[in-house]
Amino acid sequence: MALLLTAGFLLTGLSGCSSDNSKETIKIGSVHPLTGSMAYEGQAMVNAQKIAIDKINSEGGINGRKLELVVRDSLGTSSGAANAALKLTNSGVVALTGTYTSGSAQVVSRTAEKTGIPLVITVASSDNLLSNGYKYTFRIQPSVSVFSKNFLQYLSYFKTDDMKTVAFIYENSNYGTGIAEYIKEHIDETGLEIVGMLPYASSTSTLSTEVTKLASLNPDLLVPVGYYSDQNLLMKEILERDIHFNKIVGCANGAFSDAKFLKTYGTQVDGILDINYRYNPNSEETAYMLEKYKEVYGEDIPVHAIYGYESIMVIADALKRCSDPDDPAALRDAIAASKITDHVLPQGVIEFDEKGENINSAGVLVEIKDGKHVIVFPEEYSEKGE
Amino acid sequence: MQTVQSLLDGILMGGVYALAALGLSLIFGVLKITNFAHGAMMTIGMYTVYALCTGLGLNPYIALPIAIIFMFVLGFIIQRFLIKRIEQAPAHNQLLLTLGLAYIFENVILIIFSPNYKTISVGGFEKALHIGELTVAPAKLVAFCVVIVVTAAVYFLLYKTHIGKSIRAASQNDMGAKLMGIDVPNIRGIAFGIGVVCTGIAGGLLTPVMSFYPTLGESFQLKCFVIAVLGGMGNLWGALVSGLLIGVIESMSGYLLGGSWSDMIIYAVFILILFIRPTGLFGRRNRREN
Repeated sequence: MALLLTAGFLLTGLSGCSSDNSKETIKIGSVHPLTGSMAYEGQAMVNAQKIAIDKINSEGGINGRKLELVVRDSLGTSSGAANAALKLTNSGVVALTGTYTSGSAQVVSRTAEKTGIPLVITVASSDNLLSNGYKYTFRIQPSVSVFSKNFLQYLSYFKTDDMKTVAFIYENSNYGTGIAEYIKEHIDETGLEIVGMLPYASSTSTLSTEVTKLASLNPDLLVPVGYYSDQNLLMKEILERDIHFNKIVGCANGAFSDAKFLKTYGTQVDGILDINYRYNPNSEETAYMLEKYKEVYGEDIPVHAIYGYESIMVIADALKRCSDPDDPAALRDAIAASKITDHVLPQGVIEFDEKGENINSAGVLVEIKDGKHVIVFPEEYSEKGE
Repeated sequence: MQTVQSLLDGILMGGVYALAALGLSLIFGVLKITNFAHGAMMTIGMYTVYALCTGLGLNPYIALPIAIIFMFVLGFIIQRFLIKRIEQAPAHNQLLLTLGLAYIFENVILIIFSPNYKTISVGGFEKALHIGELTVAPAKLVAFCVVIVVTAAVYFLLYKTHIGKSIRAASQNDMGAKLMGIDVPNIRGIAFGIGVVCTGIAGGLLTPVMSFYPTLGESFQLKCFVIAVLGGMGNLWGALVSGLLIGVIESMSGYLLGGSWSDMIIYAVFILILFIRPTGLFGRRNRREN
């Protein structure tokens, strides 16, 4: 019996090596946090990827071959991500995707470089991620500095003449600090005066003190940057205490652009703005993605997961153009030569610079109107409100 | 006035920390076990209240008593069937078991409730109370009052009832208690159950205060540990006072220096106090009962 089994394995193994593998699936690896405090975000990312995979497969796959998503839990840690990436590269994936956090992205991009298997970063915003000169890493999402630049660019939309002072409340890791510091550096261009910089640890169980301070500072503009649970805490305290801020504009805020945030607060948070990633409302593919995600998973797609969807589309597009879909090096070159015009992101053509950065990546300004998210700026993507 | 506000916020939050730490302290005092699943048990308390609220449409404060019963039974069973087996084992084995339990709990919650952030809103609690220039979130005020009541109840139970006497006897001298006809195995189970109930209540009380997710307990685990050690392991009032102290330190350092400093200051004070008083603020002089 054992012999038979071994023989069976050998045969399947052999068929994998033969040149005719047109019947086999093309595997794409996915490294995201599926347990730990970022499990919700990671799972949403994978869910969106699955929808993209199903779409490609239902349209005939890549020259008749189906795509398969192989998912590994990064545990939300760098070591977990390194482990997951290593296992994936050993299991025959032609491309990697991930990882939601910048620390994980860093180690996975190293694995990608070493093994020569291209990595398309779904979400990881740290600025210096692509500064190592690596050839096999690509990123579609806007980096911290892109969001910060967008903040300055879109300022004209919400800045009124009597807006003089600004305060920042931000989580104190790379992401929050990076954004707050960047804007602080360029504050002279805005004509605003900074009256408060309030960093906090995202694991905190209370932001009462910070809210007390903000209330006394009473800035004309409040800029909160942080993850979902801490920013939710912030908003709860502000609403509970009936503190009114003239204008609240988040930058890449983990809560403000989330559907759950609206479910919790409804119209109480009307008027809040956020510069964040979002879909392109004018694209037909967006409509498909939104509808399908809701149908399969019973909730609106979380905004960051849109980049999970697009990561698969970018790889699929490259696979279709590439000479040999089983050769990661050829796939890498095909991704580098991407020129995708039809996609779900609120930006121009998706193409990568020599570093692997999505050249036209950008966030949009989203306003909460009548308890709904509405893109208000730039104009070409603005929605009238559903 | 801002200083008073920060002080008040610190005291209210500190109360909840204190209750969670009280459970840890009690378990250590009686069973001589450091429960590394304590934070995860707090999360179980949160999700039990959440399940009762969403499943039966209950108000979280009505769900809390039901959750208490559940937490007690859970604690009792865990002690009788698992903890009991490692009571005499080396410390690292005890650590592995309770830490393993923590991971199991977290992941069971993850599977049942998904990793989504959950929030509970209580009708009428949306707005803070204004007392002069001070503001107080109703949910935090209620939490603080419940903490005081529960701490008093645990004290009463331990020092004024027969069961309490048995628990203390079992913790001081296992064999002696047995010889006096005390059902030591069950008494230990009850003590562990009470400890789990304390942390469960703390978790339940926090559900209207903050959003929660399966691994939230991890951030409370270490804080509980600091408070319990500071108060003197096994010392109930010590845990209460230390909890308030940590809450105030967290809040005041956030106010005076900025939120990033809070954790650092907490641990700096912790280390400093341990230098001066190795048995904690309220711990008895180094004396081991034998």
